[in-house]
Amino acid sequence: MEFLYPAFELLASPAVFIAIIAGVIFGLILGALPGLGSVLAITIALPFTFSMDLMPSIALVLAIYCSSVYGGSLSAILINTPGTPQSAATMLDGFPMTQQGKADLAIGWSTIASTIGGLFSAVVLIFAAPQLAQFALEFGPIETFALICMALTCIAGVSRGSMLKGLLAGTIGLFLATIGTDPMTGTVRFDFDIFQLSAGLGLIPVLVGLFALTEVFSRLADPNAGKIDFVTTASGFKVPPLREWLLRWKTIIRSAVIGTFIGILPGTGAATASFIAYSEAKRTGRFKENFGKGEPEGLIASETSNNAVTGGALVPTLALGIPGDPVTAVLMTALIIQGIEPGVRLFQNNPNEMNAAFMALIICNLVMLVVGAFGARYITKVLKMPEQVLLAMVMILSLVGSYGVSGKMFDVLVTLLAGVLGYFLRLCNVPTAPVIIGLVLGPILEETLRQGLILTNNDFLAFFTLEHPVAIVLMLITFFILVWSGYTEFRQSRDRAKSN
Amino acid sequence: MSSRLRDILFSSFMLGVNLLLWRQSLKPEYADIQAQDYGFSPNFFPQILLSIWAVICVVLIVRALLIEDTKQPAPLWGRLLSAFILTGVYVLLVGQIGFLLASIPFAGAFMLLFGYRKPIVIAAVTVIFPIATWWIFTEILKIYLPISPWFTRF
Repeated sequence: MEFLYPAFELLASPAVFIAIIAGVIFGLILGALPGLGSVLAITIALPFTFSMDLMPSIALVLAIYCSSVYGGSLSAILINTPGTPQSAATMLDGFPMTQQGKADLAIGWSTIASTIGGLFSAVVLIFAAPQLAQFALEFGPIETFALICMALTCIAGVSRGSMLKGLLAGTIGLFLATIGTDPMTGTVRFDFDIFQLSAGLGLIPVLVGLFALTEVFSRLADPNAGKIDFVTTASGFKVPPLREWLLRWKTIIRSAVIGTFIGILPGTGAATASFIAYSEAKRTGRFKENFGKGEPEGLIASETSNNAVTGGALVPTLALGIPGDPVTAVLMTALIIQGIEPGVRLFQNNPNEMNAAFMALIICNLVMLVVGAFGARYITKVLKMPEQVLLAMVMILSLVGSYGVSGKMFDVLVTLLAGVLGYFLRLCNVPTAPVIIGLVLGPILEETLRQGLILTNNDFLAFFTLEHPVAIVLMLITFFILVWSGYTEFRQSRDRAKSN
Repeated sequence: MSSRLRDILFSSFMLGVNLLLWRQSLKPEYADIQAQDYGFSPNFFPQILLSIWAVICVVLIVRALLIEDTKQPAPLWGRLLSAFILTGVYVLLVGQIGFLLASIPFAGAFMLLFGYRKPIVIAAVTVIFPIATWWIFTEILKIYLPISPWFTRF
């Protein structure tokens, strides 16, 4: 228990608690607004962390992360439109409950289920992340190279759209990371005689452009956007009876495990977790015959699993320095800005800070429960905010965010260009998440590849000898993901052609 | 536009960009670095990526020709172009006249251009939101935003 005292000391400040409460409320609002979601919420909040101390800034981003995932359920329940893709499965039983006049009960189920999922995964994170980091300490450049290849392939393979387009997006991201000074020779690459490019592209300007601006442009250009009917019903919070919970405990445990496990896998994310957990509950649940008609068990499955992803996704991000999705990539950036480098040595170098962060994650989930219980009724009113007003605010905050990192107008220009690029990528059904992950992992991938080649006297095939069993396993998994994703895509195309 | 035409146009464009980048990667100054015994020249890794990029584009074009063609909904090009132009002008103005003086007209113009017509809300958001953002960043967070040439604080 001794290790907890320094962590408590770090947390015991009013700034941390204000950050948690503000983060939970902000995350809830942005999570609830359809189309905005966790990435945008954390991206917009990022500039606020620049001048904050370490613990309040970590607490703020963790609070936003947890609550934005939960916030998506509010709009899924009330307006049949998920605030975030993670809550798409929540609509299936959440909105029917609203139609039956039980919106307050549905919000009660989803709030408590989200809290349970978040707490479960936080506990797993506390035990799993240091162990994984300890194991990964043995990794050399060849193993790290193989691990990043696997992560990138996984992210591209399961991305929205096709695997090929996901791979292309990942390659574009990796290429963007090569712009600027080569770390091994000091040569400036691909600067096109633009001085500002010699330092490379900043992650935040590209990220703000690809996610925030692209979202704004997409919503403005979408002919179907903004046609939402708000159901006027009791949208407060009602605690479901304990007896009802006990009847569904197996689904809660199962969904929490599914969510945490899927969160650990790179690229899969909360949307996949919630659908898998929902399908599993529909197959094995006690009330499976009522699914789709307003059955709380469906709601529990979706909400427990998607919030369980939060802790799971932080395991590889913190322990290996490999973010599995854009949300954790932004979170990782927030830590780097504060001088904390996620990776295998994170727990050795910053034990107190990490213990404090774990405790902050637990507190965030508990605060989310309280704010959800007392504030859901008010927060859902934001859903009525006119889209044009909201998007104007998002635009201004996004540009402030990209400027705030470095104080350079060039970064704002990069954000604008990334926004335009992101819009056209989205229009062509190319996922943007792999671009960001590629940009984050590109420098490490290049460095480990070149170090590995120096170690093996420029023999790439020597990466896959029995001297590097971990690398062999990881590359086999990479190969399997490529083949499996390619086959699945081919089969889907063939089935579509047949059905037409 | 059909999905086939969209994919072919997109992949061809990306292939064109790829060729331009390949050309850039063949600059002689990269090749000379190899002699410094770092194992590989600085263009080694980018060229691997560009090769993968090119192969994927070619496969995407072939695939687009083979798979089922579907009709894709067209975006609202007018609104999109307006958004690009308005944002571009805003970015330009922030650099010239500062954050606050550029953001106030931008917020109002943005809401009006995209169809919002409640004058009181527009006036309130246009004035309050940029000023509040500017105040929080410069006064509380001490993150200084671009200023105009005419005033010392904003």
